[in-house]
Amino acid sequence: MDTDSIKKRIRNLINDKFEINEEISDTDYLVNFGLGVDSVSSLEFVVALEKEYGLEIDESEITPDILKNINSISDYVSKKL
Amino acid sequence: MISNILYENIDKNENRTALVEGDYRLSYSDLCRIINSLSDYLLRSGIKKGDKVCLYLPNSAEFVAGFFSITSIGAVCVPVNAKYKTSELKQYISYSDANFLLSSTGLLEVTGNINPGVKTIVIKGESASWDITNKEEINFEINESITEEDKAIYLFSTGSTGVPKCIARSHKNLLALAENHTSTVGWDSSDKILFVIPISHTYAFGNLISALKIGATIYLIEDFNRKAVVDTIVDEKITIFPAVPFMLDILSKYQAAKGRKYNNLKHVISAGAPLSETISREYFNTFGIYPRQLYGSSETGVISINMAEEIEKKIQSVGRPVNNVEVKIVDEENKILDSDQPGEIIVKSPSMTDSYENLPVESGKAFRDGYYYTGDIGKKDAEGYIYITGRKKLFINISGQKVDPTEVENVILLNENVSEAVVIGRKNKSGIEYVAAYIVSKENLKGSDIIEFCRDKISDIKIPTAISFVDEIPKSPTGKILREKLK
Repeated sequence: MDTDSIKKRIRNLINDKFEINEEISDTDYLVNFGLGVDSVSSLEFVVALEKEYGLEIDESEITPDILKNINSISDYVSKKL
Repeated sequence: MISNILYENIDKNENRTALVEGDYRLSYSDLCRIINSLSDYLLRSGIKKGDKVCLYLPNSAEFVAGFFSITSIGAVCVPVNAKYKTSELKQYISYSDANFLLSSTGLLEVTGNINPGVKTIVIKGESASWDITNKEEINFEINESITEEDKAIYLFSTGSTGVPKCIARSHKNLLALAENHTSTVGWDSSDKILFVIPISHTYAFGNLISALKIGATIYLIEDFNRKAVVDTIVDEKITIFPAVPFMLDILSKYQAAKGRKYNNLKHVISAGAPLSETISREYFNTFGIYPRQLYGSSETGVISINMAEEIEKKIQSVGRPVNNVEVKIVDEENKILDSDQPGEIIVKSPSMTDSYENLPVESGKAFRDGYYYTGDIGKKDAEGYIYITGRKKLFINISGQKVDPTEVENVILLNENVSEAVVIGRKNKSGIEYVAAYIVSKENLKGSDIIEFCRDKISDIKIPTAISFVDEIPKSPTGKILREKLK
């Protein structure tokens, strides 16, 4: 799977989960869109990522650095695939 | 006195394991020795009978020791969620008039700048001034002037006024809670009970006291992690698991949980928020056991629990009242309603408080003729099973923690570019509630501006994850906000 399509799917997941209705760039801080703000929403996003890519993720691996922006999540997912 | 529940277990079997936190295990005898040691240290630190002491710690042995030590001195324990930020911690210190704070090295960033006149005592972590591993026997004499009527704990009830209401529960109330609960559910000393929900919260705290009363073993996990929870349930042969619907939903979908053996798990409890039938069935499909809904409040302790034999037929019920607790359904005129008629749920219980601290008007409304008027709307079926169908109060329920929308609105309104803000709870497909804000802005604000603005002012769970900018807020002709129109 190429990087652009991974990023597109991640962007869709974020838009689906958080109703902020803004265009999100690859480098925007996602905490400002609600992602990683609290453990409940972070874990729900991890579950959505698992389902989207058929991954198994240990949530203790998910640091704020991974959830920082679409680029960092994309890097993480690429390594897992 | 509440700490007697521990000493009674020593009399039965002093070597029984009381508490497990990772690799750290304490027998009932160890736990009592530690409580004596901490009580003695707190006394020497200046805490005396009647003082209010904030206990700001995550799920840990130090939290458990802290609660029993504070109450053994005759002081009042004020547990505060360790996820709360400085501004919120300050508020709870102020509401409770606390003059001491027990905390950990890891939370010093939050506690470093708290209210003047409040003494912080670090009892957990590298810089702790008291050592939980010290095996020295301390001969601490429990203050004999403590009576069962004395206040043991302050809990807080989230209202819809922007300010939580302070609730005092006495030693007698807590002893009654443990007795009512354990005699109804039939736990015993062989049980192993897993706490991943915060024990600073009334629901987990009630279960914790009940577990220790019957001499069970409690397992403490600081943060919810699916692997840690599932592995602990399987490896440690956990028998009882109190949870909130959000956790049950997430665990049901956890691939690594499927196909494992949960033979020892006999009682999974769901409380803190309504449990949808979908989550209940999905949890059953993964774990082979239906969660049982428990209903309670900070004002009363445990009210009811669903122990129905034919759980499939009563899956949406929060069960029948626990022993010694009376529940009635009344209409607006205070008339008792027949079966299946919805009305306000009112409760009489030996484990409940009879007023809010320093709030006579609110107390007069909520506590009448020996009953607590819950503000919850519900009904009872012909067999006495209670069903919650709605609530009068405005709060939003985020994975068991109540969020007062007014508090969030007040924070958003501090932003000078916001002219109006309304905060409501909305539900996702699984029925899990989240915080949504509707904002009328003066300038061209973005949702991300609002989240950033809120981040250092309120705890994470209160920050909206859905933000809509609107031209106006729907209101009635009299100016009342029509929240239902926004849902």
